[in-house]
Amino acid sequence: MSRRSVFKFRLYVAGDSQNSLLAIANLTTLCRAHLTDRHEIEIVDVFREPARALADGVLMTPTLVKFAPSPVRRIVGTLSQIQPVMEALGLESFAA
Amino acid sequence: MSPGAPPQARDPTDEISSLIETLHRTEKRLEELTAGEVDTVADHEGRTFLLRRAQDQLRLAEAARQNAILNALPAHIALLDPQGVIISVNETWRRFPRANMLQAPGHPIGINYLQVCESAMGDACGAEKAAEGIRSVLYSGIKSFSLEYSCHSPTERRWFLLTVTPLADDRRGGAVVMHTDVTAHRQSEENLRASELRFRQMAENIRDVFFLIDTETNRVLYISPAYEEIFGRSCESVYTNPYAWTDAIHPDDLPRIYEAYTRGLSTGKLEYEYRIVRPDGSTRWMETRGFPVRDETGKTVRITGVAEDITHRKEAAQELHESERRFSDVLGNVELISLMLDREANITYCNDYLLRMTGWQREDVIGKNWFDLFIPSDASDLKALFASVMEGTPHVSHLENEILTHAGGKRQIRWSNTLLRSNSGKVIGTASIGDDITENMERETKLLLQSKALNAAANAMIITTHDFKIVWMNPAFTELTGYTEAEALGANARELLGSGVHDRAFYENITDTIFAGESWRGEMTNRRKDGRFYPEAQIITPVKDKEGRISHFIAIKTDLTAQRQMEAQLRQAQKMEAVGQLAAGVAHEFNNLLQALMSMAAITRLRAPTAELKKIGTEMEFQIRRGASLTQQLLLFSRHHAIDKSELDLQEQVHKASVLLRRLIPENIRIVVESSPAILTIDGDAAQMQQVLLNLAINARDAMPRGGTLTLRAGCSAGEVFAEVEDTGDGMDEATRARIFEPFFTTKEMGKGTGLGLAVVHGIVEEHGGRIDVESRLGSGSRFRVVLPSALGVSAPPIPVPAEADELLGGSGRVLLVEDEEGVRSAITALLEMVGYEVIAVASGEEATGIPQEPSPDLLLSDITLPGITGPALVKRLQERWPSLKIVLMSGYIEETLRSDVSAQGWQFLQKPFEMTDLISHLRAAQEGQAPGAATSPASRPVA
Repeated sequence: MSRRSVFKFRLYVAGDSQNSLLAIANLTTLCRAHLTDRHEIEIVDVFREPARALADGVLMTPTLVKFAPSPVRRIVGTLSQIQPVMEALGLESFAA
Repeated sequence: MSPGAPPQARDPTDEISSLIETLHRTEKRLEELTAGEVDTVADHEGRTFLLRRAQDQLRLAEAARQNAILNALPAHIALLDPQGVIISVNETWRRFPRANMLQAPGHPIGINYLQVCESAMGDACGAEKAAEGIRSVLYSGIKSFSLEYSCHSPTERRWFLLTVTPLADDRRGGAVVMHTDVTAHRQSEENLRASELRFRQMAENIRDVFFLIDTETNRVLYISPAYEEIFGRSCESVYTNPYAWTDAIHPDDLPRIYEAYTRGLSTGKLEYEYRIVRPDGSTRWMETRGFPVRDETGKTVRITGVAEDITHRKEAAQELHESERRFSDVLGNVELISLMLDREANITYCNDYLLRMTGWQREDVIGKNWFDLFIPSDASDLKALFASVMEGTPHVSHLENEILTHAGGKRQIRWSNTLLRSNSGKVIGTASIGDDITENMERETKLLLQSKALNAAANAMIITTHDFKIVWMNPAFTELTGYTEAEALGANARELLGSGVHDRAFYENITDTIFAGESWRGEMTNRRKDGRFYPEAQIITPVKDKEGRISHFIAIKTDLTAQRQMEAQLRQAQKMEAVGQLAAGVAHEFNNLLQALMSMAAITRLRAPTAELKKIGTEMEFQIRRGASLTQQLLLFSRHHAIDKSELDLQEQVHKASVLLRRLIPENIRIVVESSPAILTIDGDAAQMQQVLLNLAINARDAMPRGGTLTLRAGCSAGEVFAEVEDTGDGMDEATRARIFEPFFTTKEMGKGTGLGLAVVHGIVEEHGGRIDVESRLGSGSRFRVVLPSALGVSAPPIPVPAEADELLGGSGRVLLVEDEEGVRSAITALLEMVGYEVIAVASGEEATGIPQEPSPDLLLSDITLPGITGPALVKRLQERWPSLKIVLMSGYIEETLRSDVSAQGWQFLQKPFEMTDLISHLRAAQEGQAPGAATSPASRPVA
């Protein structure tokens, strides 16, 4: 995995509900800190676009899907626990 | 729970309880499974289920948002219950409890708002209406009630709009009461009403006549009261007869206006100026403008317009003419020439300034030809130019030329010209404005002269800014430093020229002085562009600007190179003079010594009984002669000679130099003298030629520290003769070779060379009309060839023939010998007696004067330099005693002046050390009364 590869995320949320807002905040903070200038985030509101969630097989919100770099990863929840999230995203090596 | 599910048999209440229980457990389990981090879950059909906690949160968030909106509204909002009791208020209501009298002071919740309104003070009517309205909404099912009311505070006028709406569709649900501050809106409405009023008042009151005409009926619908005032007729008359106003029109204008008005009724547009005559007989200027008012089909139905009294404006236009006239009077007074010429260049107008300047009277110039009166006769091209402009060639708008004054003086004028054209466009003349720039020209010329002077100055000059940036320089600066303008301008003078020779304190002293506003004078060493250092004298003067701050420095530089060189040459000359004086003193002693030896060697040779002894005597004489030659060279070399040209044999000069050189050149250097069979005659100064050869040879020696061969060569080619000095030493590179003739240039170690040697050589050779060719390569020696013009037609100098003893015998007479050196005295005595003279030898002048009168001596042979009475004084006294006494004087060294004195007296002179033959021939010459000098030439010696 190249150090410079761009991380592509899609975050499924449910409107302004609290866990969704938390997940958005946590994700953007994480990206700013560890993936400066090499991330893209798309936010999908399941109330507005329920079909997309269904198409992607997302049954709970908030759910984060990492499309690139491969492999594709899904994380359900507010993303509040940074360390497990980083590990799941394959970012462990860049911690510290 | 599916809507389509069939009714259940068992008690629905139980089933509901059980379903709720299931729902509750399901939700709880979902919460557990998702650790509370999930808001929604969905099934595979896409049915999304919002978890209850998320639902609650969303609801709270929504409520908070709505609350925020309510609080942010500028309106005062309260919720009333069905009885009119306030159950909630927004932030605005809370914050401004006293802004409105219909709002209860203090905490409003729980207060019956109907009672508040009913008990309100002030505008009781408004309050009662409000209470009524609220009741109607609360009890009568009215959907909305609003009321605008005023509530003026002591400081401002305020209006509010009360709006009451039911809280919900349920008619018993209470009401929302909202007070909105509509002061601004109300005020703008009031303003509008006020402005309408003002318009009316204006229309009624101003002096312009407004009117409205119905074009279909040709009736006047409205005419403002100003009509009565301006026209002096009633409005009523116009309403009854729409043409009544034309009665007032001035008879001259009436036909035109009537026609214009009639046409205007069809076009809808009116625009004309006219005069009216008022009943009191006064006339006024009017202007009427009308515009069409059209209906929706575009047809003109009305004309609205205004008739304006423009009498003042008309009068102002009149005044404009007047002011133009005044303006031209002003032009007449400005310090500019104003002039108009017709096609023939005759003066049609000129202002006083031209007359004042030139001294002419107006009546003498108007109508006269401009060129005849004002233009110098040699400027005929101007006349031609004027003519061609009149014929239509492109016209010259600016030019400068001289004009003549009445008294014949000249002024330089800069002209701006304009062509005057007739209505048909034909050129009818010119109008010109002229500026007298004579003084400017003079000033410019003076500046130009000054700048030329600075540029021509031999001293280098620069002007720098206060931080030493060069902003101006003259050509001498380039000559001095080698920097061109492009290189020097903008450069820091100190950085550009600094040599690094002077320490910081030196520059600080300069800076302190010039920034204190004083000039600095001094000398310093600076560096040229090529890196060479040069000495210069400088005067740096600060220049102050108008505010008295130092803005620039002017530096004037004098190159001291030549002066320093002259100083060094002077020092060298003084050194040589000192050496010369020393040498002269030594030479005197030395020559006396040699004289004694010479005499004795001659006696030895002549009296030798054997051939062997005779040979020894001859050899002694030869060596003594070489010794004499050595002192002679030393004198020549050291003495500062004025140039004294005579015909010289260059070959002999080379030979002479080589003799001296053998004593100056160490033994590891071999000296080779190559001579030419030709006779190499030049016109030159012997002493200087010796110096040239010696200097070249000494350089050659210094170039061969480890030994080598020094070749002295004389020769000729192509009408020129040359002497060469060649070494086998270090040689020179190209850069060194280029500079060797510069004064003070030396490659030698400190203290070993003056740097003058080759410069002196160069000077001497140039003075002789010759040149020096240099060949040199690094590592393979150098050859200096001194090329001089040949002086032809001169015979070879005679070669001395050694005298034989017998031909000298037979001298006769009595010789008085005065010589203080005993060795010399006895040797000469012996010699003279040997050849047959009778000798009276004394040691001093005093002794000589004391000898007996008889027998009288025939000849005096005396040393010039004696203690006591000496030289000419002695001769005088002795000749008083023996008037026929013949004189021969001798000296080891005498000054040039004394020597010429001696020969002027007709006395013979012998330079010590002299040969015996010279002595005898001089004595004989004196006895025979020959002119001095004749005896010096051996050719004149009688040969037996």
